Amino acid sequence: MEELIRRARAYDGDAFVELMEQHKQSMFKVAFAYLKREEDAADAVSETILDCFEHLGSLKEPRYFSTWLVRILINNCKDILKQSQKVVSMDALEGVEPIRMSRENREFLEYLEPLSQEERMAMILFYVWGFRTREIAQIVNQKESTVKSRLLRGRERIKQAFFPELVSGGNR
Amino acid sequence: MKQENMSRVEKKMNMMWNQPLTISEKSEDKIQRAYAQVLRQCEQKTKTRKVRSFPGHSLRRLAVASMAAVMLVGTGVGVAAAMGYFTKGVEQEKENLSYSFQVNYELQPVEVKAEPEYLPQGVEMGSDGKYYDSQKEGRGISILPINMLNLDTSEAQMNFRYVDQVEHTTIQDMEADVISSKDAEKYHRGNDILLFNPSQGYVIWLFGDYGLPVEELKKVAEGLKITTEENPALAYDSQEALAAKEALAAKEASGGFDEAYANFIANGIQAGDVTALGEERDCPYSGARFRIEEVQVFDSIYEVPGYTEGGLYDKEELASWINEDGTHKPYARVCYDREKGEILREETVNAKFMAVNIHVSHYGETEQEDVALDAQLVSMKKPGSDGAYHFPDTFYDAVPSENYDLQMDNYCFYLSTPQYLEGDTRLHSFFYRAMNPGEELSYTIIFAVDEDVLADENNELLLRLNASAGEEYLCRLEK
Repeated sequence: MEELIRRARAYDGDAFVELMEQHKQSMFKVAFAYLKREEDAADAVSETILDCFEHLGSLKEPRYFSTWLVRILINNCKDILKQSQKVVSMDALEGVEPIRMSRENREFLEYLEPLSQEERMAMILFYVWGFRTREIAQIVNQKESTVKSRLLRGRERIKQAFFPELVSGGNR
Repeated sequence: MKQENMSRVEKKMNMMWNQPLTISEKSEDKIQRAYAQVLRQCEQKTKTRKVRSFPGHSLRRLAVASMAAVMLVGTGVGVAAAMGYFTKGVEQEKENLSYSFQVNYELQPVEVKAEPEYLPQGVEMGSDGKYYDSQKEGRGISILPINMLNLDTSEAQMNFRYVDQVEHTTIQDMEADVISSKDAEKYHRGNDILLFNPSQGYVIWLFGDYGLPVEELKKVAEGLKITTEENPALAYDSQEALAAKEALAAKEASGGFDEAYANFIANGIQAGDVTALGEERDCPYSGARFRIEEVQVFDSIYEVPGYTEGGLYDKEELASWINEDGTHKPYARVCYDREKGEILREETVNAKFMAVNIHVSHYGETEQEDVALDAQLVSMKKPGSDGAYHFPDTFYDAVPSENYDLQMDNYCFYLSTPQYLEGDTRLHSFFYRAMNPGEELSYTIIFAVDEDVLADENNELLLRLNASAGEEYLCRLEK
């Protein structure tokens, strides 16, 4: 990946596109979890692609590329949320696009449903992006213990919701 | 059996989160348009670059060559060969350790890869050089191969804090530093190993989380399979490119988040922007109007009027931190310097319970499904001559190994009127409530607050209403 970053910084457009394609699914998952509407998620991702290209030269350490990229993405998601003031609940969403949404995307939204917004971010950054809790803490500007706690709760909620047969003991 | 279940759940979780999403044609179009814009700009930039001379690394090469010459004069021919791809400098002052690197730009950088052939029991491969123990927290490992280009672009410096001990040793015939953190388990700090290979042009950085013994991390380092590969495309930045990057970074720093944050810290929050006790505050996103009515502090949680166990989000958490009479047990906390992030002291403190009575009404025109009724406490210096609240110079946090979450992020742990009491909705919506237009509600939330924080005359506790959209609405708790 670092080679792609280096080439992209040298205005190698193909390298940049490849770099973005490598992160497209992960970016969509963050944006989808944040904004819950695919069209908004696509806006956030395409805006992030442009921002990333514009500012790639300022990235001091290529190994922090993923952290840097996801921060830009989250900021764009926040901006879109503020601009549109679209705080759409999951239930409301189900009434909006029940037919057009693919099975995979509906399933993804179902996985998110038991989680709070903070837990969604922690789970996606951990499982999809592969960040350590320390890195997630830096990305979301929270303490590492908070991130760990969110992951713990998130896992517990997912277990309760989707794998009840594997849960020993009852709800808290 | 339980561990087997955990592993199955973890695998299923990995699968469910990594299942690809479908990206519709419409969304794909938006992305393709962004790519097209980027490709156009690349084309323009490339055209511009073709007519510009490319001086390479002349100045930096000269600097390194001069340094090598001085070394040759001073210590003989062997020193230049010993320099290899880099030389390192080490500086340690108390618990702070810094490495700086002087890169030899005469030598072509090589790619480096490092794969572990030994992993501690329970630790499995994750992604991107990271390895996790799905059964136990704090045993993660990161392995970061650093080639010369990385070393050059990382401003050639590595800093470590809270260093307890540095063992200088040899691992796989390389000079190695094993850096143990002070009170690693207690403060959930990890340990690091650096492997230096100036003759082949790389550094390998291993990080083991707090729950992983240093000896295990050493075994991982000893078992690393390290390979290098020539790659002519790896090239150091030219002076021109470096200057452009520095200029861009400076420009970004002057208008970006860092500056905005620095301004926020410097300017604080104007007292006029904080809602007074007893006054109403509208939260437009949720259509909720809040009024803080009364604030009382109690020694025992049982003294809070109307208290019932049904208002506790986590009964076990409270039970482990209160005495039989409902008073708070002492707990260990750390006091940090806000600016430097350094630990100033550790102390055991007592806490009391602060009950805040709030009135909320829904002034919107449609039903709101998730009005957030919880809140956070924010400790601020009382307004000075500039009329603004500023953050105190220090802040507190529980010692991580205490597992004390009652004051986590300074949130309340109790709500007198929870609506969602069962199953999933309880788990994720306990502090939320659906409200109809015109509906009103009075409720109580309870916080645990350290005694000295309550008694501090220089600081004031403000309430941050947790509106659904994440906006900040600060209210005073004192008259």
